[in-house]
Amino acid sequence: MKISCTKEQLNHAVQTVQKALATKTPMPILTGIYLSAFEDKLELQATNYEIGISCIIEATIEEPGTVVISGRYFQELVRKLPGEIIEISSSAEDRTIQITSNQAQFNLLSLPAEEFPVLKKPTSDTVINVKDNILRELIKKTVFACSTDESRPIFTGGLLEINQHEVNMVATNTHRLAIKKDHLGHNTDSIKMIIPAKILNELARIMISDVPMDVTIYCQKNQVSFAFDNIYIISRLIEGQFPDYNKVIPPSFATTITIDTHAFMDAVERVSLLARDGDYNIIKLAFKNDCVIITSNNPDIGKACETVTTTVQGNEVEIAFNAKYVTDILKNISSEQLIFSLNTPLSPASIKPIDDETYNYIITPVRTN
Amino acid sequence: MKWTDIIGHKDQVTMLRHMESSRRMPHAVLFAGPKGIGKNLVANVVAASLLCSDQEERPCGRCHSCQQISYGSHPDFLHIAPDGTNIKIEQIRMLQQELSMASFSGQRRVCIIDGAELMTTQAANSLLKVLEDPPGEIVFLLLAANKQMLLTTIISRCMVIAFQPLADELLAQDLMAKGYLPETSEVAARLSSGRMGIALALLEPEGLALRNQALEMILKLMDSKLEAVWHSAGVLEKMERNDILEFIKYVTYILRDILLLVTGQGKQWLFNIDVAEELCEVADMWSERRLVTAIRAVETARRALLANANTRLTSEALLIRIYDLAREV
Repeated sequence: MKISCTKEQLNHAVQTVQKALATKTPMPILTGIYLSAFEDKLELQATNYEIGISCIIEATIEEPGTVVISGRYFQELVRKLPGEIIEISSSAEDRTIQITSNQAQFNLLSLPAEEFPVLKKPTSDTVINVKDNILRELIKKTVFACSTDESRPIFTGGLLEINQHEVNMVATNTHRLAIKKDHLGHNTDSIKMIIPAKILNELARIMISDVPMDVTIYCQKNQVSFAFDNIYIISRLIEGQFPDYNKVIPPSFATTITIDTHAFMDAVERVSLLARDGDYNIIKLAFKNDCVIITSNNPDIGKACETVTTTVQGNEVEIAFNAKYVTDILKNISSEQLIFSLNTPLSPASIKPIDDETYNYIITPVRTN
Repeated sequence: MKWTDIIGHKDQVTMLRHMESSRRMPHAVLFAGPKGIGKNLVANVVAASLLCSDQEERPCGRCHSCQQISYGSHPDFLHIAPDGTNIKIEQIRMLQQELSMASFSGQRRVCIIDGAELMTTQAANSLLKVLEDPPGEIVFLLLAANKQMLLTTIISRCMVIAFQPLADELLAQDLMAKGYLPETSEVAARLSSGRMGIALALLEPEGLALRNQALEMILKLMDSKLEAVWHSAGVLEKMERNDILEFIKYVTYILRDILLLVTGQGKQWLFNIDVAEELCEVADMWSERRLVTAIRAVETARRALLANANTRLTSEALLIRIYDLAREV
């Protein structure tokens, strides 16, 4: 193989695929980045069998071929190379790869390319197109609610549900649940799949275009692929049945509060400073007389109390929550005001932006005596 | 990797092949049998054939899956082996995490747990859940040298297949077929008690070093003064515990061979056939009764060492005993 390409493009591609490099693995080949040169294109791939990323860039190909190069070193050296143009050539005899840029020259040992599990370009009967800004929004607004506890794997992923022209993303750790809905411009097949949170976060990080573009989702039985621009990402799915989240959302509420998002968030963050030490990170909210009194009490440290004015409709309620679960959602609400809906001190409550019916967050209270 | 690579174990192989070809492989199989007997090879062949995509002959060695297995990079072939001295709960947790995801190929997976008896109790208990209710299609192959050390709850969830040592002649023949010299193959086959893995280790350069050391020590005890005891005990003290146990095993073998010679059984049953002459020379010094006593003393020492007795004291006591027994009239 013998090619040359710009440093900017190569660096972008390497930084994109390196997220899929395996770190701790008994299979050394997975720590490598696969380079394949063909028809004026250079394709980079990395996979750890959980996620696989491929990125294609333009390059001048003098001699086509494939090599696998140690991901860790390639990534660092590409970032630090001095010139604008990078030349890469491989020699089959001594199994090395020569990387040249300006006066700098590196010779890296190659890994056996025939052992690399090459990612196949996704194909599937079920293909769905979504705009990347929609997908990014779906991910960012929900995936933070996923569980990190590996003992119940089903909650470590987000549920992507597409039904005709509706698309939903749901994430829960059984104590809180975030759901975001959106519309597709067109009718498609219905699908339901649980995608690992790690991969969704990675996807949201890679989709950084300024102009909305199409993301093509290819669904298969055991994996899902997202293709956009010159990149495709393949992920394995989490197996199992996602619980029926509609049952968790209370159909009606006895108390509805409208409150300023920023004032509320700042107050909750301040009060929770004293709560943080305990296991449950508890803050108490008392809604009455058109204000909310937020308190926390840590016997070892002290107490905090703050009042924020609101409009309270319905019964007066006193309720306690895990402060982290409250601040997590407040950070994701972009509207000026939000609606906090409650029933009783021991039944789930809902928090959602005032102007957005498509976003909802259900939070279960903490029992305090 | 092919079925024909497996030496012996005919019944087991026939049964496994039959289960595989009729697609009736149980989801958990426990291979029980001494270390070095070939369980791992059989398990690998079973795994390869379960994952192979060929219609006729599995494993075919040509398809994508077979190639990935030979590179050691098959995504649906999981292999767990002791990390240090145990299989730890983190390893089983990693396995559960891996299994929570759909298989890479969308088809079945195979998981080999080598040294299953070395799982910590916590790890074993954590494995129970997946073993009882495996997510998706998966076949677990557990390999254990000491089945008794496994939790009964694990054993009861597996189909147990016992592996026996191979016949010496079969082993020797195969070693010769592999290109080893007939004489050394013969010795290795006899000393390994029918275990291919051990026989191959013995055929390595220096593979017989411990045996030779044991022989040298016994010969020395017989023709020199009591000083030999202190010298040899000093050597033994510096060895690793496993090496000492191995060393003691060879002492037993050598005494047993002398016993055969003393009782006039002829040379054909000797383990240490390569040093038969040296053994014949010292055989006159011994009587049947004293040899049996000596072998008992070795066994007592072995048990003491297994129970963490002091190496120096145990080996001195043993050597003095053998020294005395060799001179008793």
